[in-house]
Order: sequence, then structure tokens, then C-alpha cells
Amino acid sequence: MKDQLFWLLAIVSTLSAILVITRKNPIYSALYLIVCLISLAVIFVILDAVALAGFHILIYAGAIMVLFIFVIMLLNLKPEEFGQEFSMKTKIFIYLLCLLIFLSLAIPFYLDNSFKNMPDAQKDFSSVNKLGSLLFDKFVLPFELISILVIIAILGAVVLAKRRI
Amino acid sequence: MTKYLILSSLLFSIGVCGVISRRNILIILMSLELMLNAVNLSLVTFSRYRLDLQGQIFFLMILGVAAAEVAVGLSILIALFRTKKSVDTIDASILKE
Repeated sequence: MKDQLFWLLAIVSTLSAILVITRKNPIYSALYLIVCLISLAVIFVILDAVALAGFHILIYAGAIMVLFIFVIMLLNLKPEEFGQEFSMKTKIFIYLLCLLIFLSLAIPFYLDNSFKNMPDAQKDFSSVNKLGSLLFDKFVLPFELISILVIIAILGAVVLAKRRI
Repeated sequence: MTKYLILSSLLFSIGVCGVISRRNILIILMSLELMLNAVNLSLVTFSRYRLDLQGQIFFLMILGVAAAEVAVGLSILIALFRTKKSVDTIDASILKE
């Protein structure tokens, strides 16, 4: 059952990712990116990382993409202001280049035999409990630094977007 | 487990394709998020494979960094849009030549 579900989710996420990069209207791209993020969260649930799936949907699809959509709506672009695109010749060259990048990443994974089987995990291999006890015990320094980084990002975003400093 | 890694590399290369081939800054930012998510997927896969929770902690750090980066990137876009009145990258190339 997990196998078929994974294949379905892989097709959904790949299709929506391709649709993200090919749409002219940025709102459509944002909506397809939300579909891709939700399918990735379900893949996290298959991988027994239920807490991370919840954080993923809360933060990525719930806050970051909403920020994107707010900005797109505030910019209020008319269809002729969407920006020109490269010519078809340039795009074909770029698609071939990215196909090369994908093959150079995927072929070593495909040929390697050491990742074939997943070990069995207990029911609560990853829970908010265990993540929290790691975050406040062993990884407390990255945790505090991330909070400082977010404060700096908030200050920077407010200063950059003001009309008069 | 290779299928998860192949999906991660596929999404990453689609994100690279989006960053290089589009001229709209918003789409470029969104493909950047796609690349970060592909890396997140491979991190969670390896964490599950090795039954080690450190990969998931790293995931949370990347999530925080991505949120901060999107906030600052979008505010730069708004500041750029105010002067250039365009979201095309070709209009932001005054340093060229």
C-alpha cells in the first residue's frame, strides 16, 4: 500500500513542480507549489516523520506560501507586466542541461546497491516529544541561532519594504 | 529507498530548471523553494534510513532559514518593484556593461 501511495505522490509532486516552473501567471505557480508541498508532506508521513509533516504544512504551505500570495496580490500585475521569457531555443538548451543535472544525480543513486532496504522502525520513531528533547538538549545552539536569524530577517524585511526610512 | 532519493534529485533539477529558465523574479523565488524542499526530502529519507533524528533536526533548521530567506527576498522584490515597476530580471541589470 505504501508503494502505490508513493508512486501516486511522486507523480503528483513531479507534475505540479513542472507546472510551477512553466506557468506565466505567478499566482498559478504559487498554487501548484502548494500542491507540491502538500504531496511532499504526505511522503514525509510515509517515511514515519509525522511531526515533520505537520511542521512542513504549517510553516511552508501555511505561512511562506501565504506570504508569497500576499505579495503577488499586492504587486497587482496585469498580464502584460508578467515579464518576457527567453526564446524557445534557449529554453530547449536549458531543459537539456537540467536533464543532464538530473541524470548526474540520479544514476549514481540508481546504481548504488547499499540503499536498497529500509530498516524497520518502531511506531513512534519520530515524535514531537523526541524532536523537542533533542532540540533543547543537544541542538540548543542551532535552535537559538535560528531564532536570532528570524528576528534579523523580520527587521530586514520591515526596513527594506518601508517607503521612507 | 533509492526511489525517494531519485524523486528528490528530480525535484531539485526541476527547481534548477525553473531558476535558470524564467525571467519573472517571483517564479525564480518559488523554484528556489522547490529546490530547498527537494533537499528536505532527501534529509528525511536518510534520517529514516539511519533511524537517527539528527536529519529531522536539520530539516527544522532549513525550514527556519527558508522562511527568513523568503521574507527578505520578497521585501527586496518589493523595493525593486517600487523603482523599476517591473518583475523582469532584465530590468534589474543596470550593473551590466
